[in-house]
Amino acid sequence: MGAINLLKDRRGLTILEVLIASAVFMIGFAIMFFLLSEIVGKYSAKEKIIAYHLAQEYMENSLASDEFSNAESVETNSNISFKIKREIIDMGQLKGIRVTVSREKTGKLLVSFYDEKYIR
Amino acid sequence: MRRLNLNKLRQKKGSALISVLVVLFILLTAFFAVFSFALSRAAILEKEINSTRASYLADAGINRFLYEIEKDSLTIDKIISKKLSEKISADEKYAVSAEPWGGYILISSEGMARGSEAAKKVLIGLMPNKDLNAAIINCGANYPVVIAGRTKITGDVIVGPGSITRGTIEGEAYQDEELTDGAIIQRADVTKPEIDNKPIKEYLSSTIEKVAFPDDFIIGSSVITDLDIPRKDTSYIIRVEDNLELKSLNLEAGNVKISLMAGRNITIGDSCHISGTIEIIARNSIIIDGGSYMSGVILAAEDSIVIKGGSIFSGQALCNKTIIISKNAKALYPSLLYAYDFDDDEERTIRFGPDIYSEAIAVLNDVSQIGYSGESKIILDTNSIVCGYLYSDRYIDIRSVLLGIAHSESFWYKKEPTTYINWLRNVVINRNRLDFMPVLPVMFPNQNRYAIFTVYEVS
Repeated sequence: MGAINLLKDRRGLTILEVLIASAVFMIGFAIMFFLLSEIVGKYSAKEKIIAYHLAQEYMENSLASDEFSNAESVETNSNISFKIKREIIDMGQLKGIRVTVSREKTGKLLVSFYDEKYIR
Repeated sequence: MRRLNLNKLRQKKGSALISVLVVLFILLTAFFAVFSFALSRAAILEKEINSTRASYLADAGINRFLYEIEKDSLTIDKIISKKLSEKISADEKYAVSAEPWGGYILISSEGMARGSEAAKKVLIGLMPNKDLNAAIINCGANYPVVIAGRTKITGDVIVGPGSITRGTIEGEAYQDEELTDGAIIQRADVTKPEIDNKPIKEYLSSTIEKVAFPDDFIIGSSVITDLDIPRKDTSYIIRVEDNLELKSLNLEAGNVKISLMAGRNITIGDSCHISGTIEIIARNSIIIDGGSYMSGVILAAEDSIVIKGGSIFSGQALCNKTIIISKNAKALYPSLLYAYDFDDDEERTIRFGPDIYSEAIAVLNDVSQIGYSGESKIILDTNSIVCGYLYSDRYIDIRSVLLGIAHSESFWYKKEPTTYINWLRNVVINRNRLDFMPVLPVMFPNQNRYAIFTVYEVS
């Protein structure tokens, strides 16, 4: 008799309890999922690192070359497409060089460098 | 109907919720750990990107400064007082300033991008004119140059009218002289360059004065083996009353201007490694020995500067009397050895060797009115290899190989009991082996284009 009573005491959870718990869990999980996707979108190191290196490479090439003209190209690296833009600000013998790398799909600016070169 | 045990039920109420909250807490902790890690990585990356942006902006400042001083044909005084500041965008700007730094001008540019800063420092000097494509420029008006003996010159020889050159050689063994890949060019306008030593005079007067009349100094002599420079400082000065010894010192200036001064002598030894915007100033002499390495520094002394003992020097050595590179020492480009003369009649000497390698520019300035009786000279001693540009207001005595340019009032060959002057005999000069165009100090005012002489590593 005592054992049966003990079993009776270990009753399952009420529907209400399960519903509330599930709801809390779902809300918490949804918030986390939302934040995680935000982080991936905003702080994606991989995308930014590639953009950084691309911008640096383009800037170094631009500084090393004697041709100064506006240019635009698309480069895909690690399945991510980047739009690379070189803009020349002509100040006579002094050339301002702006290199920007942005996400091709959304157009979001990732990296922007500016330098000047004195051409003799 | 069985009666419900409400108390027990109450005790068990919300147990699933607690479990869910515990799980959520664990998940959230893990999530925030990942989140903060990602954030810190992103912040580090963002900082690195902004630092690179600032570095490009600092470079832009240097280029803009060079462009503006050439566009406006500014004099040295105006260059030094010029300040440049440019805002490129809301979060991008640079600021540039200049100051005299030995025989050159130090340009400091600071780039700023979204809170990150980067500095760039360069020394600028003057681009030489086309005459320096020649192997020899003899600008002595009174005595014509004589090329004799087993002399081999590769490159042009620019001489004044009346010079006795190939074909009309005086002296012995004249049949063996050889001139390849060049021509003898006689010109009426080959004159001595007018050296304007005002900038360096002002620089040296102020620095030597700091040693002679210090506001505060360390009494007696000192030995320095280690120096901890606060990185937030922009300048750092040590003044010692008598002698200063630097032993095994490892010192990089970074963005700080460091001055080490002594009222008498400075010795640098035991493999010192000193680099950056550092002035080492002694009233009497400076000796660098013991395999020391110096890069970008200024050495200034009134009596002598000696670099020896396998030491490697790259920088500026400015001395009123004698500069000696000897005993397996190396002077690497960019280097300037400048023996200056402001007003007295003392002799000056720049001596290379024996047994050395040099890529330094050597300038011997002698404004004294003692005419040809004085023996101020640049000497290239035996078993040495000297690459670069050598200019002397008086003589250049060449006894070893010169891969570069000898520009002088007179060359020197002396045979007792008869004294000959302005002779080139048994020498090898090869202009084509000089593979860099030396950037001259700013004392040569007839050059009007600026070029970068030294780029400092600024962390």
